[in-house]
Amino acid sequence: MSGALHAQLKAERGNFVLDIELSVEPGETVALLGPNGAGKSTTLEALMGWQRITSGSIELGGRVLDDPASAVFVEPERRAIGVAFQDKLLFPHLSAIDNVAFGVVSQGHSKGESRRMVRELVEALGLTSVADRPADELSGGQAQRVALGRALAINPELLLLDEPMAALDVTTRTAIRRLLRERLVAVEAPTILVTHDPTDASVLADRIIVIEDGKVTQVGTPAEIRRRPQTTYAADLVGINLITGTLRDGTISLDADVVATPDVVTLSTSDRATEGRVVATVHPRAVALHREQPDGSPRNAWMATVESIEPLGETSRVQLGAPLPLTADITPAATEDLGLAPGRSIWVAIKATEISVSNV
Amino acid sequence: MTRQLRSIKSAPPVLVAAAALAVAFFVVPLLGLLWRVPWTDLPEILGRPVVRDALVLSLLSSLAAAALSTILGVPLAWLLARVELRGRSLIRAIVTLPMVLPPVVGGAALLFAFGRRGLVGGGLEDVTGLLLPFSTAGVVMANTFVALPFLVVTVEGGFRNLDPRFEAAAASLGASPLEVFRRVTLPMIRPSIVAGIVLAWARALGEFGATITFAGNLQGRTQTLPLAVFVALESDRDEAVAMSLVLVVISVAVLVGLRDRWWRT
Amino acid sequence: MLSLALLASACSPARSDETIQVFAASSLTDAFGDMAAAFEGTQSDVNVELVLGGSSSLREQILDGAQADVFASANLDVMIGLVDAGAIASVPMTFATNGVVLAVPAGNPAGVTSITDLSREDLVVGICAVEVPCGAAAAQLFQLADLQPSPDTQEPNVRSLLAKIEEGELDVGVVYRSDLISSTSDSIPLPQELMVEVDYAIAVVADSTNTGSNGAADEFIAFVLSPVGQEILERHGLGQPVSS
Repeated sequence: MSGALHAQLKAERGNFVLDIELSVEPGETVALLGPNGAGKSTTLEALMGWQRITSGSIELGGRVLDDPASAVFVEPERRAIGVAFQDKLLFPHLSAIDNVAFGVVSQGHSKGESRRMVRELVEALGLTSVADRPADELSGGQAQRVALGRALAINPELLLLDEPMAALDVTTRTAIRRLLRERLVAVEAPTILVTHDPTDASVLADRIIVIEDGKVTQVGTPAEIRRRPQTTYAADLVGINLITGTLRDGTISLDADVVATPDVVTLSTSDRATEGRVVATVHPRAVALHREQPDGSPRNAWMATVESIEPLGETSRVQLGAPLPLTADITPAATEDLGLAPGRSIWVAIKATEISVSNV
Repeated sequence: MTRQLRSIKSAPPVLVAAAALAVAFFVVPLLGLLWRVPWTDLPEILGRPVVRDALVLSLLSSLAAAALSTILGVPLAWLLARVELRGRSLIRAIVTLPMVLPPVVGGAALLFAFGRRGLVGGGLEDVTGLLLPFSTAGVVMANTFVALPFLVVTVEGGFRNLDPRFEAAAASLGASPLEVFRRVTLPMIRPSIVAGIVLAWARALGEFGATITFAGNLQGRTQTLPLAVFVALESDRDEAVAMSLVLVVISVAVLVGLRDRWWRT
Repeated sequence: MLSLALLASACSPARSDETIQVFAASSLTDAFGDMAAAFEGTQSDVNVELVLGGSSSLREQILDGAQADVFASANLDVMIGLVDAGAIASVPMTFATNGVVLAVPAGNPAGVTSITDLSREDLVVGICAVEVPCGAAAAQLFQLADLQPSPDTQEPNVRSLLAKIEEGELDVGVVYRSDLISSTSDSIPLPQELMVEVDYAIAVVADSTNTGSNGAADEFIAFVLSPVGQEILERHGLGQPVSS
């Protein structure tokens, strides 16, 4: 039984003022995306009850958790919110499994009983072999799994994931991202994923809420935000082109749902180390547009249709259509030089070195 | 191995010399004591009732004082470290006062407070019939008076060094404040608590001034090892030295044992 | 080196002044304070330095080689022990006597009337540890009275015993008559047959460099035995030695 989160948060911390509205439906994952100091942490702390809001209200599953106007404040231990902290905050004196079971013990179960109850979860998280190891002897990835397990074990009414992929090496980050993608499907509670990584947000979240300087600057699906970023920050981060495919010998074969005619477009990258399912990222500024076929026959070049041109600060954001939908940022002068207009065909080129890949 | 050698080589000679002097400062008096130990008569002396009584009483009273210090001191340390109190620095100053106060003054103060004619002692005796001076309870009290500050200071440091977000995380997992304290706070500051208990116990074991001033000196009831040593110095040096040796051996054994097992600082 | 020597000579008293170290029993603290001042008044160039402590403890210090010229003991046995050890240079002289009395807090709140009260269960009783002279005297008193009291404390010296009596923490204690001179405690006299008298003895210490016919150590002992010296002792509650 899970209900939606509706929060109207106003909180102050020194000179910083947070004022945002937040709604997450049961089963939905919302990414809270924003630069450092935007108010992500304050938002989480207000939801957890570590910090009281000065006005507004927090309602979870129909229950009011915080409402200064009617003097309601539910203590953190009565909120049933599962949190996976950025720095994990695992209890170093407990084993991995006892960390996962911590909240279950708090619910009144004996130690042995609670261990049995979380055994399945521990296995699903791939922690069985290290279940009895002290938490301070776990690797970064194992610790993150334990942190996630600890939050999931209490069957939370709200799940908060604070930068779960931060401070992990590339391989581990991929593994955790994959794990989250699998697990989050089964989570019935509203889930908030705090991140500053647009890849994570796009891969894991149903919706993205961009906050900057304590305010919500944009709400939408990853595709919506990529297409029409409202701020430079969103444009820089969310605007990045994400292309999924399979990488082999430095060549990405694109998925059929990404490109209608897979034979026409393949992407070459300078990355020779990665193999398998990948998400390739290309910054819009790295997508070059040419009137003629570029010289030296770079392999990553093809003809595409211009769908739209939107002004974005000092540049223009060009939306390209078939065969591979992409976003390109070019200067207004170049727009004029190229004679760009919706419906026109244009040569698209991307240098192999501008394509970075990571496994998913 | 080579790295260790190099680090010793590169240490400034002045520092090494001063450190060696400091070690000698402790080792030489110890050697002086060992030199005076009546080794052949030792078994006979240690078997004397006055020595056995003092040893048993010293162990019991110092352990009781360490236990009492823990029960009272840990909550106090928590309060000082975690609760915004008005006059907190004043409370801290008062609590740590026995660390700088001559123990005799502490004993006299205890007497003025809990003695038969003391501030509360008279009433206490009337109501409960309990007489603290000249009793073993009085010894424990005097020991606790001087030992408690060491525990409070050490454990408060432990609380301060513990990131409060661990406790907040436990609360978010549904643990009540008392549960958080028991299941997270206490286990996480365990090294500080162990260190505090050892310091408090060591201070209590060596306690002399406050004990003799407040509790008096009676074999089997209030005469701890330090008191017995002091009295024996007047009459029987060998006995005094033998008992001093016992104190040294117990202290060294416990400190070495604990340091290896729990007291990683 | 040179500057160290200069410093040392600057700190020590002028060469012409002789200094004698008098080791005296704690119970002589006040009496010998006056004694030293009076003695210095009769001499132009002698300083008296008093070292006070329990007689047995002073004995141990002398045996350990402390720089003593004169030793005044509150206990004959202690003096005899030093003589046997060859640590005494002159014939010890008894110069004062002291007697044991019962001390009670001012006003005698517990209503102590006789030595038998020391066996009362409801009284808090203190004596000196048997290792120190006032404790030995108390033990002698109990033997005379055929009494086996159970004290609540055996204080390491008479001062700490008296302090606890003055505070009212102890109802009664056994002390020296002389101890009560400067105390607010009251005394309960003992009957003639329970009088425990102790003799104080004084002698020159073997290691003394101030000895000989005109030595200041001998001069000091002579002064203690003189009528002026005896008068000072009497003022502090000490009796004249019984001439034998």
